Amino acid sequence: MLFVIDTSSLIVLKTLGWLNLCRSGDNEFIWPASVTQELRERKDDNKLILDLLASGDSREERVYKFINVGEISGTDAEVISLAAECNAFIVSEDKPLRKKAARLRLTALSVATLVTMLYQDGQCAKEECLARLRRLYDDEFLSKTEYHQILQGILP
Amino acid sequence: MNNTFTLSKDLIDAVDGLRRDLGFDNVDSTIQYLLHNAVDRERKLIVTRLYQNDQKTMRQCAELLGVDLEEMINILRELHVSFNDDLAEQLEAVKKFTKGMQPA
Repeated sequence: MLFVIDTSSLIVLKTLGWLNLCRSGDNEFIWPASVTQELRERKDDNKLILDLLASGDSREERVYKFINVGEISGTDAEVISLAAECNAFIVSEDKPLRKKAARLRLTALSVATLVTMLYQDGQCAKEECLARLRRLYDDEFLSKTEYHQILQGILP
Repeated sequence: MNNTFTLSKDLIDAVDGLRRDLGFDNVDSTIQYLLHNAVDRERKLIVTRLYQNDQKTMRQCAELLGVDLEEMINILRELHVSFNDDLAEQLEAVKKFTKGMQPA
């Protein structure tokens, strides 16, 4: 599966120590150059993310065709444009960005639903998926209601 | 810049009570500290409301508050703003895909 991941999700993955999710299975994680630029301007701990780029498991892609997404520009617009161009899923923690992407009929996921999708697609064990969802809940990336809503779809 | 404000006795008593708890020497410093915190919190609330209503993306909100994206994520967590209140739509997309459909 091909995913365009944005800075917000990379930050969340880094915070949780889950950047290895970008190395899982046959998936490919790409992002526009503006995301790399943004990361380079940040603190030293983003070296991890840049190492991920250097490892070759994830890569930066040039955006050729910009889509005009009302009221957003720069990196946000590049993420949406790249996903449209490559017919990829978007991974973003940014709900307004996901909604704008959905209006363009693009599929946009948060880290929580990415984890769920990898499980549903048989790419990760149920125990691992449940542990990750629990961690997202404990770290307040998922509310109690949202956590239970996802569990309902996973547990028999 | 000096401005003069009138505060009720109850409020001054409450600030004085906090002054001791916060370890300030005088009421002026305590009021400045409390006011600074209140303004900061109110700005965050106003901006996160724009995020909640899908009027601004996370990056735009970070710019409005003059913070970086990581700090913005932490502000949203601190204020218990949902990252997933579009969860039903996301799960529907996952369901469609795992049923064999490709992304649009």
